Amino acid sequence: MSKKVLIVDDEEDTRSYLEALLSDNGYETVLAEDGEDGFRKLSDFMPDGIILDIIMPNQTGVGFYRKLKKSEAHKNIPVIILTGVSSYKDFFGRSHLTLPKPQEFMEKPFSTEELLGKIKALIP
Amino acid sequence: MERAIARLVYNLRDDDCHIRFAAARTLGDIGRDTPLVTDSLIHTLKDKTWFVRLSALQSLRDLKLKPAVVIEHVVPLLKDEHEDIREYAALTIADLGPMASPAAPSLAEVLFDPVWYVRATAAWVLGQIGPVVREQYSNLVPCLSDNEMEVRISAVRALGKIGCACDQEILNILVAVSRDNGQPPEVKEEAEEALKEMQNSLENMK
Repeated sequence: MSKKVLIVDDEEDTRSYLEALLSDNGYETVLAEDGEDGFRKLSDFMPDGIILDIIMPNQTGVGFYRKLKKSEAHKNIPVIILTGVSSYKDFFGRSHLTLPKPQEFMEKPFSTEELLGKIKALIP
Repeated sequence: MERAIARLVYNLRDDDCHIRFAAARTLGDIGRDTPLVTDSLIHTLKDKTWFVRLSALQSLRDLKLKPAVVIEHVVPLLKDEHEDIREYAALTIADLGPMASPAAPSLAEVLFDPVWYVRATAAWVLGQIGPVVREQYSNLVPCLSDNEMEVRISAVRALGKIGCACDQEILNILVAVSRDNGQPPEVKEEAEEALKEMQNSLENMK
């Protein structure tokens, strides 16, 4: 059975690209266009991993991630953060919140090979 | 490079918010804190698009603003409509350490923010400012019964950092939390840890 990945990104181009990349590599995908949409789809889809953008309308990736990590049902799902703003690491790298850090943090523009390698390592 | 910087500054006023966002971010990456760059980024803190404002704030933080500039231009962002900006403004203020003390009353207001992680960060930042904001301890007390455990933990840590080792009022609060069976174990452990740190600092003073 193929592994499932939830892609949360407000850019349609990026969503479509990631969908094609993952489908070609045997993953099943569900797409969400912001954090709120992502959380709605989380329970139905129960993904094995999440690729998460940060700057999105409505609920950003920061809010989505923190809500995810406080959810007993979903907190162990591995997350790859994909963002164009490197300083967003500050939201995740600080020690003042006890929430675990994301498994991977990648900056856009990203290397397809590197991203795929990280996905395969996290969601084998 | 100067021409490129001038172009980026010009782009901060572009009609397209994505251009303004990229210009603000790139100016931070370049890292030249000339008056033109700094003033333009400060002006961009009032941009109508939230992620442009955040990008300008992140770049200004990278440029390591003078304390007076942070107090004047970043503290107002603690009331921004977007939660990530309120939190990032607090993180930027924390960089100043004790010199951020004039921001303490504004940070105390953020302890009642509707978003839990903004409240948690505000509490943590008060702790980073340290004993000079000791008078804010009473504002941290309601955070000890916040619905979110993270906020309680941040408040406990902050109390441990703003109280000196012989501060009986704060010691009593932390002892009460450490013995309160209504608190989650994580919060009680943090209170015990804070008490230990205060005890250690007293011994170091002797």
